[in-house]
This record gives sequence, C-alpha cells and structure tokens, in this order.
Amino acid sequence: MNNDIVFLPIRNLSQIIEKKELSPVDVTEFFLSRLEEIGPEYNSVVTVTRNLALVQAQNAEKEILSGDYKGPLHGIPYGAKDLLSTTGGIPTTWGAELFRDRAFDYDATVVTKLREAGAILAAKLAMVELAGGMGYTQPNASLTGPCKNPWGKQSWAGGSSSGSGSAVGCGLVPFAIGSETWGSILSPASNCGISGLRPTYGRVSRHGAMALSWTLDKLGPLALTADDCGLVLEVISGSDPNDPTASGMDYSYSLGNLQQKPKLGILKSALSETSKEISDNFQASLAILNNFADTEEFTFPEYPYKEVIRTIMLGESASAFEEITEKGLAAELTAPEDRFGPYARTMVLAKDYIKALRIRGAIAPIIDTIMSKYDAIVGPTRPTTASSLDEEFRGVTSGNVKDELGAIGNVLGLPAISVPNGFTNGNLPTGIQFLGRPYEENRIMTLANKYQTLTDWHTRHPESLLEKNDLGGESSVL
Amino acid sequence: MKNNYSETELLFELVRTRYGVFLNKEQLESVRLSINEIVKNSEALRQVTIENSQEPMSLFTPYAKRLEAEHE
Repeated sequence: MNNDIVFLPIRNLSQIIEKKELSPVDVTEFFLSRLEEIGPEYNSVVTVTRNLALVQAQNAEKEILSGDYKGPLHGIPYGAKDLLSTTGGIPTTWGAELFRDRAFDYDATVVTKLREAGAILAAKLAMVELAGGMGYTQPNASLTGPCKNPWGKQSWAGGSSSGSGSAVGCGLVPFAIGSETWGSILSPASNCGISGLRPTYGRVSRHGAMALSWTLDKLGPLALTADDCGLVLEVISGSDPNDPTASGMDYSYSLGNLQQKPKLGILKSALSETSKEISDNFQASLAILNNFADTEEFTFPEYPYKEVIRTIMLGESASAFEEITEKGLAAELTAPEDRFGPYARTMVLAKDYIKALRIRGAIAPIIDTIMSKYDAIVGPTRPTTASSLDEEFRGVTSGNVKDELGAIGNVLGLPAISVPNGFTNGNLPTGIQFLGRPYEENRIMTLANKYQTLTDWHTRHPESLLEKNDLGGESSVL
Repeated sequence: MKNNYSETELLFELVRTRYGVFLNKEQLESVRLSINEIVKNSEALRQVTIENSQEPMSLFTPYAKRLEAEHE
C-alpha cells in the first residue's frame, strides 16, 4: 500500500474496492494510520475508532468478496463530527471538556445509515465545543485545542465542524459528516480547500445529533468533490421516525445535464462584504461560470435576516443547554468567552422568539419567488480567509457579522455547497458557494460539479501531507 | 410611569440575580454587552410588520401512539 489512495475521491476509490483491487481492510488500516499519526498534529481528531473500524472493514471485505457489494460507500472509511452519538463505549464529547468521557447507548441515524451502506467509522472528529453555541470568538474553543488548517498550521480550520474539514483536507479520511446551524459546514470546507454540502433542513435526520437549535441544525457531508458529497447525501438522507422533521421526500443523487444555459444570481451585498483576495477569486470564478451560465446581480428585500436567525438560535440554544446554564457548568468550557456565553440568551423573550419564527414564515415565499428566477445563487463562501490561530473574530451571535447569504440560507433551511475556487497570496484556500431552493441539492451539485470539471482547485493538496505516512510504496497520488 | 432603567439594564439585573453566583465582574460586564445585542435584535424584529394570520414557521404534529405505530 502506498500513498496513491490519499486524496482519491470516493467515486474513484469505490471503483477500486468494487473491482476487488484493494481490500477495505487495507484501505482502513491506511487511513487509521494517517488519523493516528497526522491527526494529533492538526488537533483534528477526538477518538480514532480503530477496533470498530477494523471489524467493519473485515465485514465489508467478506461481503464484497462474496458478491454483496452495497454501493459506493462500501468499504470507505469516514469520520463523524463528535456530536453524533455512537455506541460501543466510544465517547461523544460534543467538543467539550464537560463530556470528555460521556458515551451513548444508541447510534445517530446518520451513523446507522452509513454503517448499513458499508461505510467504516474510523474516527470521531474534533469540533468547537457545543458546536459554537456559546458564542466563541477565537479558534481555541474545543477540548482538543484549536483545529489547524491543512494548508498551514498557524491558521484555523474553521468551525464548528473543524475536524471534519481538517481531516478531509489532510487526507485522513475520504469524507466526513459535519453539522451546520449557521456556517459550520461551509466555513471549514472553504477554509480547508474541500467541498462541503449543507443539505436542505430536514433532508437528513438529526436523531442522535447534539441539538444546538432544533429548527436550524442540519447534517451534511464534507468531501473532496461535489460529486462525492452527492454520493454521501444519497445514503444519509431520508425519513426517520425518530426525527419528525426528517423529510419523507425521496432523494436519489444524480447530476443533471446542462443543456439549457443556467442562470445564476449574484447577491450584490455579498460582493461588497468581502476582502480583495476573496473578491478577486470570486470574479475569476465568475469568468469560468460565464462559460456555461448567465449571471445577473440582484438584491433581496430589506429584512432583519441576521436578527431573525440570531433570535431563533439564541432562544432555542438557551433551552437546549438549560442544564449547563442553570448548574453553572459553562465554567468548565475551554474558551473564556464560552464560560459566560449562555447567560445573556436566557433573556430572549418568548414574544420575540415567536416573532422571529413568524418573520421566517413571511420571508420564505418572498425569497423563494426571487430564487425561482435562478438555478442557483452564487457568492463567496466566506467574506474573509481563514483566521490565524491566535486571532479574534466576530461571532455570529452578535454585531454586524458579514454573511447575508448564510443568514438567509440557514434561517430558511436552503441547501448550499461550497467548493474551492482559489488561494490567497498566503496560500490559503477560498471557496465559492452555490445556494439553491429547498430540496434542489442535485441542481446545485450539478453546477458545482460542472465548475469543478473546468477547474483544478479541488485536486490541489498540501505537499507536506502527500509525503506523510508512506507505508511502503512510492509517494504519489493518482 | 417611566423609570430610569433601560431594557438592557432591567434584563441584566435579572441575569445577575439568577446567575451572578457563576460569574465574575468581568464576565458580568460581557453579559451586559451581550444582552444589549439581544435587545437590538429584538428592536429590529419589532419593526417588521406582519399580518395577524402569519403563523410561526415551526412544526407541530399532534401526537397519538396509534399514529406512531402506523408510521412504523
């Protein structure tokens, strides 16, 4: 075994496994070694689930050898953000020192679905404590320390699905599961130079996932390509009697053909919010997109989008973490600002929370009408590049945070995908997002996939990580 | 009757009464700033006029055990 399978998309790796040219056991051993060797350098991993992974890999090998191939995730190792419950005594820490040794006696539905599809749980991945729900404003907000960026250990991986982004970006797993309430999949995907899909709210069951905000939380994949995200979404989507918000709408992943020229909307305010490097990379992306799509600038009507999503998130999280608040347990959190974070939000009035939910209902058809004119809205995933590890940033729960697309997309449960679209002068990745109407994941993945067929940003990986963990063969990538 | 306290200060006093035992002086000051942000959020929401018929966009399904069984 050599490094040929590092940074190989699921689409390609699965074909090799299906043809029995590589054993799932060998593949799993390979990624376990990388998780154990490289993971600690980047603070990407909470728990390497070696024993479980090897049992699952041996089962996969037997099944495939006997002709029972389950599909493209069969025999593929993955990592789960450490807010997804797992059995077998494997800790589920929610990224918090408080819960370092806590284990559940049930698996999250996503974990169950992936197991049934033959995927191999290789690690529980680092995350910002309590998924950032306490209002952290700097990267050192996790029991595993600040999660480092694959493109530079002095830079942050993003959050709150930090380990999910970092582990995929470091080539420690072919894909990972993250969660997003407001930015937590797209941000690490962009920071780490990988692809990340935030599905429509309800597309993926939240059963067994830590609740930060019940009406905002979404689970989704982070992987090397938009196409890989689709392969994972097909497996983890679907109804679930344990989650009444999980959609019963059938979903199967397919890339559409772009016979007609798609029309892409560009939110004017999203451009004015960005740094020059982000703006330059986005303009370069538009030049690529204009090869196959029409683009048009537009504006959304004035509404207090950020205030609506903040009020919902603060109100719901105040209840979700009531025990932590009432017992003063926040004092044990890592980030100093998280230790007082839960108290102010107990003052969100019920009337204002309900008003935010009513405004959400009022703006949903307005936004959908505008979005119906476009195949997708495109914009920079983040207004700035990855922060330094010692840099303070503005938390989403306060102030004039610059993320109108994120606020609207998350409060209305809209799907979005971020894919890499370039680098800064400091060699840090940037991303472009495609935002779609509810349940139109295939449309935005088709557009993102088309973009990736015309660019090579997603094929670039940190040199230092290509050389690591040579297990005997030549060091190269396919 | 108009009192001298702002909404932020009134809410802050409530937090201090309830949770002050868990917080030091510096943390309390940060809480005060956070409450002020929440008050600003609320003021922005109150400026949005919506119809009486506009319901909150949240899910509620009456629960009955027999319906659960049918679903399964």
